Amino acid sequence: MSTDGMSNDNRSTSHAMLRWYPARWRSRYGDEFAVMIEDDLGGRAPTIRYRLSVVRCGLIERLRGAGLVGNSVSPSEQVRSGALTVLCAFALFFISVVAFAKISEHWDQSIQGGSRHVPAVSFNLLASLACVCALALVAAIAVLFPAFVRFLRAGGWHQIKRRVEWAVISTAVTVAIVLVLAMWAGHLTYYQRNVGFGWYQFVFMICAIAFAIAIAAWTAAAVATTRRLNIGKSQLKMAAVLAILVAVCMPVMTVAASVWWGSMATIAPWFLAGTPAGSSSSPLATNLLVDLILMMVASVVGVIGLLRVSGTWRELKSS
Amino acid sequence: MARKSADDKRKRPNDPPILILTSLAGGAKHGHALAKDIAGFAGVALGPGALYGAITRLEERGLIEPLESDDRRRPYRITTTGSAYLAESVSEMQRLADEGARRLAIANKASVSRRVPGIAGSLS
Repeated sequence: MSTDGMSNDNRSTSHAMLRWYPARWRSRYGDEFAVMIEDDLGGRAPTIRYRLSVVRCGLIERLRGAGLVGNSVSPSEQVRSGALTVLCAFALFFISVVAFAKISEHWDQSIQGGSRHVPAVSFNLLASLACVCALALVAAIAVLFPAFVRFLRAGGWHQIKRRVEWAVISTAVTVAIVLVLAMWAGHLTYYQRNVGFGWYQFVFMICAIAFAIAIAAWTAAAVATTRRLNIGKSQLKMAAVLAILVAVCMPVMTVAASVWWGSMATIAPWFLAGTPAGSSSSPLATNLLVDLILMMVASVVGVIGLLRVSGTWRELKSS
Repeated sequence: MARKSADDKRKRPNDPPILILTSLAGGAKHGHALAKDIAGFAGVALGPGALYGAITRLEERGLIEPLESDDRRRPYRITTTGSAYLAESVSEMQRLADEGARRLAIANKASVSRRVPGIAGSLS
């Protein structure tokens, strides 16, 4: 290969690697960073280790830029980032809670003998804490609403317009699919709706995916908006307290869901397997397992956000 | 266990910020020249990610500053604050090195006296 060809290859490699870095960092260091990679490689192709090292550093820089690690941004930005991490975690948790509600639908009717005390307590605890989290979210929206109005009045709409449009479109698609499903379900028997895999189940899966996309789109819009708001210290503190509350609730709800599964596995394993009542069945339900893993992942992400908020709390108070 | 502060962590001799400050103490350099110089005096190969991550932090803390440049290779130089920070770090590492050497000497003396009875007096 000619020297020019190798140099062009290096240039495209360095520009590809730069994409792992945040835009603000790229605009400051991008050019010199790219030329260093070109000098470093001297026409050779980068090794996988070299690429991974740049990717790792780029991701760290993104986390730093977002205020999730390090002290590159102000304490209030760090608290805001921590609270937004909890919001993202709760979005994922909310999807898994909705899935859990569907999986556990009519669970109490399936119990024939034995005490329903443990599954009832764990299920009710989960439902109550989900309500607490939803109320906390509404309260956080109320706390940030004046800042949001100020942002809109200052002409901020165009900055978030595309994300909000995506969220509205994905919600409209989800609602349309739900309406179709609801009308269709009226003509089907319980067996056709819940057993086997046919067209109804296929559309149901599409609906679930559309729902998850809509939640993700609204979360992305909320994060993009909140990042741009000019939030007062007291409002930020209130939002942070609400985020801490939600972050604490999520692991408790995950434990409650696990306890519910364990108790149902003992009392009514047929419910989890979807087999006739009283039959001997395996309590290892794949859908429930996936759902619990989602809850755990969301809880861990929530705790990371919680640690970011609590770790910067003192600095926020003194700033 | 006592938690290490961020500064304590930075003051290890093979940490990129200390290596960069040490290199820049010898004169202004751009990224690639810095990496080559560090590989030469410390035997540490800093990739572009690690090097520019450290440069970003050092610049944020005002320990280094960029110089004007006509080409894409932007050189950096150490600031007065950076020199003071490096001096403090070096003296801290020097104290640690001296203490290590002193303790090693004591340990070596003890180990020789255990192996060769009667030599302890002549070593002191």
